[in-house]
Amino acid sequence: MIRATSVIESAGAEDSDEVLVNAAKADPVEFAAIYGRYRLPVFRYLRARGETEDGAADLAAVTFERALRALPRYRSRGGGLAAWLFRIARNAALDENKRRGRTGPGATVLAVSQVPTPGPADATEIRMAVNALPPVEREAVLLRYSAGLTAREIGPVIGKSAEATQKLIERALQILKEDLR
Amino acid sequence: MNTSATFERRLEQALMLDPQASTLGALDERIARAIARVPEARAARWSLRRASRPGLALVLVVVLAGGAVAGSGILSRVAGSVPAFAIA
Repeated sequence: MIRATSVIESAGAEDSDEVLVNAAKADPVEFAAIYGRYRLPVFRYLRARGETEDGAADLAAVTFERALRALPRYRSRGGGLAAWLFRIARNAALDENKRRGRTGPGATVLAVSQVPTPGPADATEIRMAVNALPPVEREAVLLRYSAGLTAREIGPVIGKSAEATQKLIERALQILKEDLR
Repeated sequence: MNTSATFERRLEQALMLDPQASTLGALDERIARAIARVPEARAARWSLRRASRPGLALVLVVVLAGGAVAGSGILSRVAGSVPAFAIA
């Protein structure tokens, strides 16, 4: 058994994503470096979608298990590894929503009451405002501000170009600023 | 810091929720187990492929032999039903 923490903590922090992917394709143990780099962003994104702590952790595990199985078929396209991983994470969340019998992509996003809130006092208010955004804007905002993805990485996840994604985020920020004024 | 950057910082603070250490530890262990299983799964697939190779060859021989027998049967039946063939 691999010692999870030691491998993950020593994961190649300075290597590019493509270097990590090639290493993991050659030796699955190297997948720990990819996991180490993306575990927190993936968890935060799933948590911000309204999952509980345990739910987000479970879906993050499903995401990385699927990624591990699919890695031999990975080809770098627009958005790179981050876009690929977050597409898997998003699909895992949507599958789970379907399994629970909820409808629509935004049905569970930021179920505010489920998120006991650390953070600033106006965090709940902000989450409610984000929750009220149109689904695509909401998805872009979550990927940007919970996971820290760039517009170039978010684009392929939501099926838009980087430029369109950037405009979408700017529009969403305008709406949020007005709502939270 | 300008207003826009401040607003974006507020968004990050509201949306970036980190897991507790125990949750993260359990997640790490689960992924470590998944990673450890990959070589075993690959080895199992490889040995299955290797084990099935003689079986595949046998099936191929049987199919080819069956095809040859069936082909010659059809040919002799055609030959028997056509007078020119019988004369020749």
